[in-house]
Amino acid sequence: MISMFNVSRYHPDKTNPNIILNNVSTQFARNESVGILALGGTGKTTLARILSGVERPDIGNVQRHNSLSHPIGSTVGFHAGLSGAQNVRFLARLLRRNVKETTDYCESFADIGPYFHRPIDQYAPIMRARLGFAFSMSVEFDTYLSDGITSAGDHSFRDKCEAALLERLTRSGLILISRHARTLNRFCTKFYALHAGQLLPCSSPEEAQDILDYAGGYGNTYWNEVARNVG
Amino acid sequence: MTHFANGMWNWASTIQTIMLREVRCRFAGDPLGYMWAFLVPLLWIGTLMYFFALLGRSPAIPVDTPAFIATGVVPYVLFRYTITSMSRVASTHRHLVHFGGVRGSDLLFAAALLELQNAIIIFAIIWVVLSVAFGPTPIENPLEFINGLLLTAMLGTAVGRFFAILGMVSETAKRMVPVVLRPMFWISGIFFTAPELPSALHIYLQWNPLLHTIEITRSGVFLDYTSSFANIAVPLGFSTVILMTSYVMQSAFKRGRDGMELT
Repeated sequence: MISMFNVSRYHPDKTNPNIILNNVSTQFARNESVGILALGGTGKTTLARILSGVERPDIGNVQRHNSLSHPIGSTVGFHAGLSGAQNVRFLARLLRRNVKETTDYCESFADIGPYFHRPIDQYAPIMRARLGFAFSMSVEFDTYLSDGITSAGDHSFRDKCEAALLERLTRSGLILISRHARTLNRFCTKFYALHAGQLLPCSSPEEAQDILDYAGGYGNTYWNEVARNVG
Repeated sequence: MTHFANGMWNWASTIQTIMLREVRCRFAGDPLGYMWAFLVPLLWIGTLMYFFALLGRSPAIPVDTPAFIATGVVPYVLFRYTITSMSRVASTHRHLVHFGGVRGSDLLFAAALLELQNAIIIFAIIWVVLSVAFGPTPIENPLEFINGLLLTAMLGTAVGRFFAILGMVSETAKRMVPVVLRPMFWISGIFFTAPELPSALHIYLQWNPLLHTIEITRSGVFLDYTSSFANIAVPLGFSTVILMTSYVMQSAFKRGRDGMELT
């Protein structure tokens, strides 16, 4: 269970605050796949950071009673000067996972040939993305967190990524924050729309999309009022 | 294993992994790799020895010139590299906070510990070389020597934390760090002892905590040298004040330029 209690986050400063989250309280059960639809620039990454504990809210708190992954497909933990194998080994150690199993899985899944043992600064972006996704899938978590990424690389590799993620979701949960309703529809069973700092529960991604569309994007007064009332 | 012991074991494992990663990353791509961390201080010592010979200068106390310089350079390197390293890891390894419950404070602690370990290795290398070249060179008061090194490490860690936090808040402040630290090389007793200086300067230099730790280190190493200038209270007090200031800054700013938590 991951619980948010009265979470508020303002950005960038308090004198002229842009409200990312406004007094949000909700819970995500361990095995449920939750999709949060949000427009670009409305705080998807901030919400992901707050959920994962990398960033603390200005007000309120987040409690995590089960393991939550780093954002799926993220490559920020890779050091460009190290090889793919070295990066994977260090991250596996930090996550206290079996280093050999993790490395073998990543080498096989990423399928980037000898580049796996070369410094990452020699990688093409697509190879880096493959390795990032491979590492995400190599480690089992109770709940996976995604900042909109559910696959990486070229067409065939994307199918492989989605299949791997769907397989993981048979025993793990997912919190997917995306701006694409269709992506939520594919992976999630419970939905929210992130609007005006509120997580508005929805019955479907289409409803979430309707809310954001009707809200007129970023500033519709009616939906801002609804959001405040929910909060 | 108890919950506490398990937690400590995990924490120690995290610190060790971060240290190993820093060893691999710092000079990644260079053929000599991490050897540079030891070579640069040794080259400094060699350069200073050259200038001592060129200027016909000898230490004010009856000890070998290389040993005298080494007891100044090693604490200085420990202090300086700890600060630089802590600022660097705060940015280069910052994204590790996404993985396995790594905290910013773990990154800073690992960097400081690695620099202490490096300083001990550098000192050991120098002492082995000196012992081979000039015969056995005993450390007269090992406890005082260790005290000097630990005080220097503590000082470097406190100042390093301060600058690491400042660097996360302001890019300008980050760029100013080397400029601010540069004078420390000239005023910290690397190539002189405090009693050599005119007493008029003592009034000012007594506030330099690094000069005190270098004096303490030298007093521990050499039989014929006991510094009347060194005062343990100065580095202790300075470290405490600057460490507290770093926590106040952290509390005041909360987030860095990128919106992430400060440590």
